Amino acid sequence: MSAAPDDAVLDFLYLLPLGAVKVRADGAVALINPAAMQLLLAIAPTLSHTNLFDSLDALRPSLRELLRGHEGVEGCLFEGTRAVVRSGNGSPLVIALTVHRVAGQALMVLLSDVTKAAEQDRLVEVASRAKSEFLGNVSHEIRTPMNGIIGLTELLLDTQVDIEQRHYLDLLKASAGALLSLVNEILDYSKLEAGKLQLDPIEFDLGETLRLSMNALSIRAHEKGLEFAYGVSSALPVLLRGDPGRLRQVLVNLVGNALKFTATGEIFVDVRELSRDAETVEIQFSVTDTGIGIPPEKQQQVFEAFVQADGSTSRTYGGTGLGLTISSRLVTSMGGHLSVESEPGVGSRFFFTVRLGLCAQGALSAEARARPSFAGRRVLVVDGHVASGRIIESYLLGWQMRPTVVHDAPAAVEALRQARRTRDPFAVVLVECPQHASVSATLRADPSWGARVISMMRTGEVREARRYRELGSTALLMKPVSQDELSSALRLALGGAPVVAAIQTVPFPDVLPLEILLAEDNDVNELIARRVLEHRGHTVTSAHDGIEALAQFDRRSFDLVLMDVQMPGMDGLEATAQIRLREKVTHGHQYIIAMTAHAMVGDRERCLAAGMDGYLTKPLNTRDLDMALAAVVPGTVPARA
Amino acid sequence: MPFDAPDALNQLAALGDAELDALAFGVVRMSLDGTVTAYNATESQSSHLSREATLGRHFFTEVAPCTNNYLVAQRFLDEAELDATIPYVFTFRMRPTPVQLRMLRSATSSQMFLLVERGA
Repeated sequence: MSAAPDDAVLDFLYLLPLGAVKVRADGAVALINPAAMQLLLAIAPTLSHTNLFDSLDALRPSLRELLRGHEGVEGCLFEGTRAVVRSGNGSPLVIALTVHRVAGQALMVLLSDVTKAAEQDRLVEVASRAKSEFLGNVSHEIRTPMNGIIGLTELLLDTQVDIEQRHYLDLLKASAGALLSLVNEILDYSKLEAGKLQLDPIEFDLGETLRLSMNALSIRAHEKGLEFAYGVSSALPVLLRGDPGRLRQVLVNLVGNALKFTATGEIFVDVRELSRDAETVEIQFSVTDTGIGIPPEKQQQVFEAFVQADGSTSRTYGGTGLGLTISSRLVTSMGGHLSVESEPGVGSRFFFTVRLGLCAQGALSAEARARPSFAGRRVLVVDGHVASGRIIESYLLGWQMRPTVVHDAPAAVEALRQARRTRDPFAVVLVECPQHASVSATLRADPSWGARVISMMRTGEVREARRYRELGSTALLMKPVSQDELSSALRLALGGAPVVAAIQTVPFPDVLPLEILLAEDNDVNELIARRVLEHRGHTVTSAHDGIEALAQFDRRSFDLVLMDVQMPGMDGLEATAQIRLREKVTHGHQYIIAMTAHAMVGDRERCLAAGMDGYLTKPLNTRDLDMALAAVVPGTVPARA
Repeated sequence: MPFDAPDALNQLAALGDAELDALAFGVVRMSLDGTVTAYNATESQSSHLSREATLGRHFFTEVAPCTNNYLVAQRFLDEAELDATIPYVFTFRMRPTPVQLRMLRSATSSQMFLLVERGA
């Protein structure tokens, strides 16, 4: 034990409002000031207070527990750690403990009563949670009209539209989806805060998911004059099992960030398979940009809520600062990890892996499905951008075609001449327009070249489409070029079909016409669902709440009832229960499928428990709807007595 | 007189300063508001506080803040008739020192006493 402290030190410690105690290794108190004694009396009035460990045993956690794992460590063991005890008068007392181990195993323990501060913290937390809940509610309200916009766009897409209109509608739908994602981001954050975020795994088409999200982002990239390209390993299966919404959310967030922080250069999205076992495939996604980059010391910070690498960037570049936090947690919940590599002034690469389930019927790879069976044909690709040229080349190679990629018009003309000399001409020339439109003009000027022309344009240049057609294009492609679209364009170019008839509406699966009762209180949702159903040849009767639905059910029979869960008056669960009750007498069984906007875990179980036969989430996914309808056989409802 | 003498309050009230100094245990005499009116030699030696530093000052807030709690000060405040002995720990020179405290107060007296006996 050190020599007794001098009087000045004792006076100072004696008057200190902070509790200060020096104890030996066994907890025996060597020095203690009045403030510490006061606190000890409040914590454990009946103890003798000559051993600090004994005196603080009532604390949760106790000092003994706090010291566990710090054996033999010198210096500051912990600082300001809070422990709680019920004080003599029954109210909780919060003590902050700071412990230093000094030479000779003695401990300096500082104690302070932080009950008031802890209460303040608790109030702040309550307020913060209230704010999160409010945000959650508002976001949920916004989702309803957003879903209306998306649904109506889908209806338009099902009508006769030309290629240009279809492209705009695809972008409208994807943009609305991106906005919905933003709203969902806020909703997600509030759920994350409450620990309520769940994944919703379904079977989905990875290529299609990517194409839609990337197309919408490409508008912004091209508006900023950035080159934007994405490549998907063609060995990947078409159908995978996972949560496409969450996957898209992460990608949209990462590409959105890349767009935000890149002024010149390019953004490149790469999707490749890392490994595969009997049931799952591990896929790596990476988003590379040539933006401002992130200094090494800030690279981990960007994954924290409300934080951007530079406090000033929020104002310059906008954004909530929540995106990466959510993305990082989502990737973790999908069995992966989100990482970043970056060099300031050079660019950043965000990459993550996720493990997705394989589907029996989706084992066919994207490459096999899109294969246009033009193996051996030569294709000249004229693209000024190395990355996008490389991707197109990889697709063509995957189809056993023979691509040659050049980056400017003179090189293109030289390649054409060379092909003519070797009597191995190009069947198709893909030309990036307007940059290399002169190549199209050259080909048109002399029909003896014999090659079909496909023009590749940036989104904003669709109005130019007619001009390129006049220049002899047999097909048009929007950049970034997806594998599916390239495949269709090649079919068009080599098959000789006219451009205008490029894309027809998707044929619906063969479903026999059904009599459907649609119970839905929201007018827009009702219109969308009705149109989608009528488009498929079904007859729809509407009801605006559970009571109306029940009245309709009593009047006549239906092949199917599509039942919204949340309706005023009588909700879908109650209406279903009523129908099931009536069936106890009639011995019939009305086929009922639930529709719910919640998509919350447990909803499906609640609906099935209420007696429903199936479950669909809103906004209605047409593929899910078709599958649900295909399960219904008309006229099988037993007649009611 | 011993620390645990019955009728201690009346006996102490009759003692002068010199007689208080002769006692083997510490004695603090206070007015009803807690102002120190006597601080005997035994107590002064133990606490290293001089009589001058304590007389006329408020005992619970200025002299011995470690007694300003519901176990000691509050009882003097709440109980008009008080003769209670409790085990306690004093922080003389910041050394924890187990003591017995005897608290004395009577409705008929204008004096309160705190007796301090250092234990084993």
